[in-house]
Amino acid sequence: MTGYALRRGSPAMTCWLLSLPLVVLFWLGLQAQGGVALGVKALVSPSLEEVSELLLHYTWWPRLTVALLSGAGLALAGVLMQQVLRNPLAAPTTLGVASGANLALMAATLLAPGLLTLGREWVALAGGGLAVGLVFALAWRRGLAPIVVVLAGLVVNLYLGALSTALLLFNHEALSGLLIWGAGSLAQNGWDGAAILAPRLAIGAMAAWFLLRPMNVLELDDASAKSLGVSLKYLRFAGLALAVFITGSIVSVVGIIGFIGLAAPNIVRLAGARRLGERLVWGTLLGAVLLASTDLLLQHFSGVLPTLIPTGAVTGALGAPLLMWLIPRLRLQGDRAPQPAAALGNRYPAPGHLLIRLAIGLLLAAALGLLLGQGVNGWHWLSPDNWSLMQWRVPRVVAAAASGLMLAVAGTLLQRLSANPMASPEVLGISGGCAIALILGIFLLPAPTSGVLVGIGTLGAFVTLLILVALNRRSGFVPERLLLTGVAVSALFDAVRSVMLAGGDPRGQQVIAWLAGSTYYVDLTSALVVGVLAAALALATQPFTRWLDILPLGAPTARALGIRLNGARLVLLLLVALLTACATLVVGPLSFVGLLAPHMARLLGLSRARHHLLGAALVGMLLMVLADWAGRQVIFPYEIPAGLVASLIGGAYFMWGLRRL
Amino acid sequence: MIYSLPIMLKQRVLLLVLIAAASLSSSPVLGQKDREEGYIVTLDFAIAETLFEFSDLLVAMGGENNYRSWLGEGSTPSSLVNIGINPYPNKELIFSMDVKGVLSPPQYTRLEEGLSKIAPVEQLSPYRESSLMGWDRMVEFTKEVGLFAGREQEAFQLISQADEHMSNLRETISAFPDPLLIIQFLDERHVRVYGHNSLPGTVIDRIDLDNAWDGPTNRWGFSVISIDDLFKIHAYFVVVDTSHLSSRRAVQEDVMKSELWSLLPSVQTGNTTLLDANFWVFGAIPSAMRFAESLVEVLSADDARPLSRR
Repeated sequence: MTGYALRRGSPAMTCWLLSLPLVVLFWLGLQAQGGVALGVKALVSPSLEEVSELLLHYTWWPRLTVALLSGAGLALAGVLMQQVLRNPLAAPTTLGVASGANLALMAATLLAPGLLTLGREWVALAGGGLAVGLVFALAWRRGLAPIVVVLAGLVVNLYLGALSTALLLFNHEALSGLLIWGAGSLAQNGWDGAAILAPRLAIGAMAAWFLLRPMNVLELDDASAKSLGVSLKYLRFAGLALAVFITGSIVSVVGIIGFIGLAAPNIVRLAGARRLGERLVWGTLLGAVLLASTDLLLQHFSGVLPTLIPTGAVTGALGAPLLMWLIPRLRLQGDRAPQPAAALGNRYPAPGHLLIRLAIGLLLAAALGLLLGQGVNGWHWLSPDNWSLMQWRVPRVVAAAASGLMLAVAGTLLQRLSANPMASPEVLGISGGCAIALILGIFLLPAPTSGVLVGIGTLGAFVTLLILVALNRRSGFVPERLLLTGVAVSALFDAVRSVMLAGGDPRGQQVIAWLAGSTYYVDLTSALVVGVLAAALALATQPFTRWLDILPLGAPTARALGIRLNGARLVLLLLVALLTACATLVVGPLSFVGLLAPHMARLLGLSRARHHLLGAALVGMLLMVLADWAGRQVIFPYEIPAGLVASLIGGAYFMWGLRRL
Repeated sequence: MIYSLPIMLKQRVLLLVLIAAASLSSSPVLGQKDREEGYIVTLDFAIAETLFEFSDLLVAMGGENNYRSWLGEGSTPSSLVNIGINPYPNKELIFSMDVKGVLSPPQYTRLEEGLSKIAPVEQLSPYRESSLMGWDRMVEFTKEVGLFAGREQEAFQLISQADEHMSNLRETISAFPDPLLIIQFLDERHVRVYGHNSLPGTVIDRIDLDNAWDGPTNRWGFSVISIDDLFKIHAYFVVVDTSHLSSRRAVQEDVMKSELWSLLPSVQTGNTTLLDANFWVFGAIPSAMRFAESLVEVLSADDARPLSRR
């Protein structure tokens, strides 16, 4: 096996090289606890009198085992997902297993704590299963076509994520234990976790072996695969169900560990593992190595840290630079013609009328947002000249519309530029970079003012943009590579967020509140500035509609039609970055309007670039204004951030649209 | 879009009702404006519980359901007005009330600009960066709250009452020789331990007991560690009993039943006790007094067997 793989080249080399640190850390770890001999003795027959042997037997060895098992399982699931969905951005959590498990645990903790006594794993597993069931139900009629599965997964993730964030915002202290689970801590108190995982992973690996040959067919396009007599629907179902089973088992035991399942398959693929079999074997090994080394490294330093740093968060923090380092060095087939993404919905016959109706809807929503509200004496209409209350509402309506506009336009640009339906301003990493800077500002500065935070956030967005440009300039901004860079930044953001939240101190609530995307903090001046900026930037996209019609057809077509690809991509990228940074500073990084609005405009039947842009912009504004109003009024005096409500409204509409396809 | 509206609306309302049902234990109570004095608005439980000690003061607070779920019904005055959750106090509501001032902890600086248009805002917290530490910082904080509320006299009374109480307790418990480790379970594998600058740590120092946690802590004086880290600490374990919170009961039962917990040296020798969580862990003097009372009570109980007495 080894010789065979080594001759074939670098995936094996990459794995062996990356496992050297693991060996060193393993040795160091045992040495620090009394040497390798004692370690082995404690594993086999621990003496219950000696504390060091107890610790080795009940925590160190199980933890290492669970790390190896989880890393391997996540990477295996990642390879399967990426194969079935034909998308390098697919990860084990793409179908909503983790967010379903997370929401189930939160809801059970708050509403039915009795369920938790049955075992946390079962609650998590049930939640994850329900979420994935929903994804399958949404995509079933389209034969589990990759694009529909991915979209359904995205929207279910968003939806459940928004619900969890809302629960967390209102019950921060009660859910503080779950934040550690959410950040993926591998700490063990016995062999239970390993005993649950090992048999399930063995079953999973065996099933993957049986699926190997049929799964190879999925590399062909649908028509050729069907001509070989394969039932694509059931093959995909088998592949996805297997990946979900493995992921669900791991998530339920150790919590959410990001990045391994996304990065390991990509790294071995980038390192030259082309065939599915190779990717499965090396990806799985690399996943185990990556997670175990990260965890051992972390244990090495845990004594000097003032707060718990969960492993799941650190994998992102360490893996992100690794992926960034790899991206410029490796070849991607990024210039091929993309999958036909336009298959969503029929073109609407009279786009002009539709746009006008949307515009009227927007005006009505704005009027509603300004005039109808609750006060000390219940519901009442405000007269438009009542400035004393209007002064609180105008900035919020303006900011909601402006951020909806900017994110929707940025999302449309990016989805057309990359021809990837998972592309959204959040995925590009600009908002992630901005958010990292802001979170660090909130946590590290003693009492940061708004001005300082805006400055720090802008700086973060700018640095991220520089990284994006620096890493992708030589390759000519191939969209796939660009998005991978963004994914790396987003992983870093998730890491920072998880670490800060897992610490469980009262600042966490402030961070969640900001990340959830509220227009609460906007005052009149900044609202007007943002409004003008949004309008100007949106108008600036108008000259580019021809590019946007042509770019989704693939690089060769675009070149043949006389577009200078590098230049066009850079200009569009800069526009997206500016739009995203402005919007992030106003409403935070997680509003998802940028993902939803372009798809919703598509579902409405707007497919030409100009109409798509306009439609997405109008839908984005409408969604945010409505969401902002609903968030302020529905459970008055409590407020739900507009970003969350927008995800809930938009997500519901989106699911309804997917079902209708 | 237009055809889909009824469905969207239904789903939205249903969802929001679900969130509301999950999050709120009570519907908001709105204030009456028949009092002479205006409201003091606060976004922090440490400030709030200090304000509650002043007689007949009108207080508006965010996140009162969280506070009450810890400390039980009756822990807040009936005149309390709910202004939403702490990161988003409802500005329209505050604006329509008669507000004398806003007291906010430093982590909410982003709120200051908006709220300062309504009433003067001051930032206070017993856990902010300061040259004073421990009890002195708590005392200083209480004075500042009293000054802001125009109740300096009552603040001084509260402080001297607390001082006297602490000295009494110090005398009661002087016989307890072992270092104490204050533990709160977070999940099956992780605990919080409270260091010197936390509320429990401040009280332990104040009544001359020994705190076993000297490791690094955050600004609120606690650290999150995994249960195996407890093996290295030889101390009398005081576990904050959170089983009255339905959300925490399962965790506490699971940990205390687990094999690893039962193998801990302090657990094997019976050097652990449960302490009623009748205080807010990020609170001020009122919580400190309640914690001190409970602590002395459990340590003086017959089954508290210090290591060195064995």
